Amino acid sequence: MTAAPILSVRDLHLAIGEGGRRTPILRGVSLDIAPGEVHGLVGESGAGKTMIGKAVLGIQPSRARIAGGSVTFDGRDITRLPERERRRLMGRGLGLIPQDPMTSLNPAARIGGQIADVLRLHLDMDRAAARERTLELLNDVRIRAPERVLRQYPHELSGGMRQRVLIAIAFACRPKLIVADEPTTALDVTVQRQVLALIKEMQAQEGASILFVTHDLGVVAKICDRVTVLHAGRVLEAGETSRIVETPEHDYTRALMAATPRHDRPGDVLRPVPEALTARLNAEALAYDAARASGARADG
Amino acid sequence: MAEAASVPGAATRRLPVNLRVVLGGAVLAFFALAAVFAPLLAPHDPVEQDLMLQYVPPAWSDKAEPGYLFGTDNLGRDILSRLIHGARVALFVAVAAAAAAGLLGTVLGLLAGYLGGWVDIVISRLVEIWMAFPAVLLSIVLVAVMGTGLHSVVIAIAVIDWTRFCRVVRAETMAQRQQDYVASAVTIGLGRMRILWREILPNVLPLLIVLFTLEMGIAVIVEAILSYVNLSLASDFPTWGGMISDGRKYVNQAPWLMILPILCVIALVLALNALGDGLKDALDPVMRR
Repeated sequence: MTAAPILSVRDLHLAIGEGGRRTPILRGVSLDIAPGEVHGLVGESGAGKTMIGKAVLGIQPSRARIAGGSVTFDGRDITRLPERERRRLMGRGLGLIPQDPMTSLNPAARIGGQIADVLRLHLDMDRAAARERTLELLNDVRIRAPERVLRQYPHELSGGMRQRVLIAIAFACRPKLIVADEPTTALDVTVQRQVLALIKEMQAQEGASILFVTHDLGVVAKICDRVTVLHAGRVLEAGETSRIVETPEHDYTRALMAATPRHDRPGDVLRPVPEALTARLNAEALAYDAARASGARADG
Repeated sequence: MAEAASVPGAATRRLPVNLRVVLGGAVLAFFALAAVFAPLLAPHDPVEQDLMLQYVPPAWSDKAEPGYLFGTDNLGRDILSRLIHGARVALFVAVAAAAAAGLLGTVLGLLAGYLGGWVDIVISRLVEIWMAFPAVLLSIVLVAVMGTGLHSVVIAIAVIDWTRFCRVVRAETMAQRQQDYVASAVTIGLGRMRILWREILPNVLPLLIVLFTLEMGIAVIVEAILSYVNLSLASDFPTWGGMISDGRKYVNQAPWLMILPILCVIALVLALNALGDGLKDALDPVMRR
């Protein structure tokens, strides 16, 4: 990595709840994303990967507190940005491709208006210019008959179509970084491949970086340049995708690989992540919490 | 037992939803037309007295007079004309009071549901305190303080019934706020007030339409109560409640004086409730999508 990273997460701690009932979610996560890089973030449910995506966008739930560390985007720490400036960044510098296309569009507004909203808000476009750009975007995401879709409501579109619309919204203002939060999980397997290819293509065309949150190493292998493996809010391993897939160093990464179907080795038997390993990792996470708590006491 | 109990509910549920909307809407339209075109439709002046023609029974009686379909009252005034003009008052109050209560309750409900925190605490406690007052007594006190007249009636109903809108809108706003599309709106950088008015309000609208219709029915009843106790309009001006009140004194000689306006109130309120319930079911799948 030679260029300065567009996104730099440093020692990020995040916990849910207050006082004695505080549950740590992220335990000192660090990762860097270079301009134009597609960075995979893999882990099981509850590993905290979605929470990292939310923290990057500043939309973590209100009961979640950032307990330490920084999230630097384009030279500025967004965890310390005033609300007004953070909002100007949203949609303009940072985009989101959400997990569930079925519920992520406003059911009471036309597609055209929802895309034009972002354009008019951030780029000061007038109605006609926004319409033209909206049509262009719908074309880019391979929606047929964009003039008609413009006037339709979300419930008139299929899941795949809606995800294309959301991809168009994410890329509308040419942001430098897009958080893709399991963007294909809610879709049909057949549609998944098309949407994945589309995201990759839009990314190449616009030169944006992507933080790609997923539990699927197969998807990671297909579109990510680098990968960070997460468990219980800790980074276990990070590196080039090819290196991670070919020669995983951490036991957990190896176990994840063994649990993922591979089209290049169709005969392999899939094995779930061993319980002993999960137990060991959880114990490590708790030990980390204890060490951190006593460290904090010693400091204070 | 459980099965038997569920049968009537199941049967009404199977009724086409649109039937209630169509029937309720038709009756409402009938009264609305009567109200709008009252001066053209009424065969007589509603306040003109004719002491030679007192207590003329309705047309289906053998002692009826031609030209007085529903007969006349103790002062010889034409009942039909008074009912038609009374529809004007009833519907004006229904629309104005429901609109005023809806506006107040919706704004407060949206703010409480969306902003949460101390705004929600203050508004919710206010609603609870408000609802502890007996509604009819409060309205009588309010009108007594403000003086009689249509505007007092409208204000009294709005001041009392905004809590209905507020509670329901607050709950629905809280539900909508959790939806992914609101999170998406945040991630494209829309401001809070803009999200509330442009994203959430349109999704609460179907519910508001239902509430508005039901509130109109309530307003009709409250107006009838207030004019029954002579707190609405001057007594010679035709209101249904006033006609019921006047007719009560002559119920032995001329029961139709009281029965006909009561039937009007019942028909209009039933129509509004049927329309509201029908719309609730008809709009529900749209809302939940």
